[in-house]
Amino acid sequence: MIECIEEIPCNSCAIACKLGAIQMATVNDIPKVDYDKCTGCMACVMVCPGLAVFLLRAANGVGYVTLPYEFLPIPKVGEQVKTLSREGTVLGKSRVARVLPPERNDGTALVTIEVPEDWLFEARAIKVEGS
Amino acid sequence: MLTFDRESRVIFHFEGKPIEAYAKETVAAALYANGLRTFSRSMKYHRPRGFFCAIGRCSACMMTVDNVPNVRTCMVNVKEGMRVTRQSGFPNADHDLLSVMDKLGFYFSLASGFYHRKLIRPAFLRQTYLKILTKFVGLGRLPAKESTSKAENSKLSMETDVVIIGGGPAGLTAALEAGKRCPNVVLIDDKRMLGGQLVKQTHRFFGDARHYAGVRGIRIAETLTKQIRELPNVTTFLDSDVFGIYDRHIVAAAQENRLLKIHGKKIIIATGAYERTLVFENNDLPGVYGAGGVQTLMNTYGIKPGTKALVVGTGNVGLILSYQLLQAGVNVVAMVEALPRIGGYLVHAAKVRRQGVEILTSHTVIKALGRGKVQSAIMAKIDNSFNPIPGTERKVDCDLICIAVGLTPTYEHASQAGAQLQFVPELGGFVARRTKFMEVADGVYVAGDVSGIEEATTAMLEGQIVGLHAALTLGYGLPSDEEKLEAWIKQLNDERSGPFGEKIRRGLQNVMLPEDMKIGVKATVS
Repeated sequence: MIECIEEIPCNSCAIACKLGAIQMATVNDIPKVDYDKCTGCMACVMVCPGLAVFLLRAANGVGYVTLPYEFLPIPKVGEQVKTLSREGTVLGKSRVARVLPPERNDGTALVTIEVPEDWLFEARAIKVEGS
Repeated sequence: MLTFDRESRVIFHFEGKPIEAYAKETVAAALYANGLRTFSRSMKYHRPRGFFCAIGRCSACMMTVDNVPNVRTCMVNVKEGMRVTRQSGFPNADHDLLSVMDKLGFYFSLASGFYHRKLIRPAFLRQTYLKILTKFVGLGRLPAKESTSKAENSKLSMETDVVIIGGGPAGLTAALEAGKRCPNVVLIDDKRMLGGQLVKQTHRFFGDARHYAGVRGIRIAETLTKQIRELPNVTTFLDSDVFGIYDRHIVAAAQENRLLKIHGKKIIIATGAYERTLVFENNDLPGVYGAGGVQTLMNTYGIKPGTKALVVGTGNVGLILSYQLLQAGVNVVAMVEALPRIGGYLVHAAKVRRQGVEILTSHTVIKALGRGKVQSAIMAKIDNSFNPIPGTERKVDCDLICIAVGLTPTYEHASQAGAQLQFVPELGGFVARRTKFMEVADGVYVAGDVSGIEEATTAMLEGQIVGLHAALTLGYGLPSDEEKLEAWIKQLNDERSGPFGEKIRRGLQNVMLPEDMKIGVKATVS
């Protein structure tokens, strides 16, 4: 889900997608995802300079949000973190399901949190204990 | 995403006390890390001053280093055994008895320059007045004897095809394009490393992915610097301040005690911009810093600037700075913006908003409070004429106020080189009028923020354009260069064609010179 709503001159996501799933005619266009082509590889999540791309998944009644994370400390799998909305209000706590460490993506870690399905379109940030 | 060299340590002396510092730190950074906040006292009222810009432009950090007065400590590296003292304040800058001037100043109403009119008679006392005055304002004292520790003053004269002033994104790409074609290119920068503002930008850049979008500013700086080092025909002078462009294309720079006199057939000015500041009560209190200065502390020297920050300005610089402050573990208590809307990209704003940072539009800071340093600030809502609305004042606790209210081009060199200057608010201030190929005077070009405040990606494109054009007009083109030039100009226009480019396009309309310079013309060698 690409939350890029302004016509910024930027095409990082479109160029990163190897499957042509992100449509952008000119460098100023707002990116549009073709969900039939997208495989969830997260190349776009990893590269977006605005940290504006998120992967949303739902399986067996549980929601998963993968977000880019550039703070310290990096959470560990199984840890409970505070989950925040776009306005910075605390939604509650979530379990960390997966972490792509920052060294594997030039400093931008990817953190997947388990959330109730109705948080899928709300949860956009986390705060880790000790940060 | 940053690593800091914490291995080698150095001990220097500050006002008699030994201070431990890391080898690559500047004196100002090391002193700040050791808790110093009052760097000097103001000249007339002896108000405490901290540093502001951390980059050699504001001179609030000047101290006496090894007996040499008025050294900008933010530009000087620590050395083992160095002796540093502050120059103002009686008996010292921390507890200055003369700060009574600040309390009484209102009653004295000392007019500007009163000493020029009053302290000149009788004539035989003039020198005495001067001596007292210099001590009073804190301009330091010259050593009584000539220092024997410095090397002999020397001069270096050099002829070159293209001389580039400024090693930021525009200067670097210009040097690369010119260096790939011309036999001799010189690149001059006043810092101790190349990269300009890129070295402080830890975030990933926007723009075209084929042109470094998605790559962190610091990596771009590393890549470009490495490419320059691989070109043997490009000579780089660091720590060199270009102080003048003289007749017949002589560029003069000072590198410590050496005078550099470079004659370039073509001159490219890529000197970037200055930070603007904001007028509000007590805006000179230590703790009020420019955004760039805070970034330098955090990203170049790994020093935490404070614990609670108020950021003024929501352009991209302010938004990125707030994010970097959060990454450094600083609590950003609020961001204030005078306009009714956020100035920068909303994705940058989203990154800080979702961490809980309050962004208050139509607000500004009206007063900083604290004894000797910032301890709190008063913000207020403003009306359509930018006047504070009474009753909306709100006090916030903070120890850092970061001013990110805009940049203005460093136009001085272009003016010396004979360019026509014009004040264009959309481009940030005074800029030079230029042709389509960014030529502002015969054989003199501008590129980057100095030609108009914009982005790093446009700076790099402009640098490529002027570097290539300079080489072409000297007769050193490569095949298909003319197509490359047109393609880059088109790319620049494409990037500016969106809504964020509207302001730039409006500004540029006013500064184009009517005729195009013809390319492919050989310059005469004199």
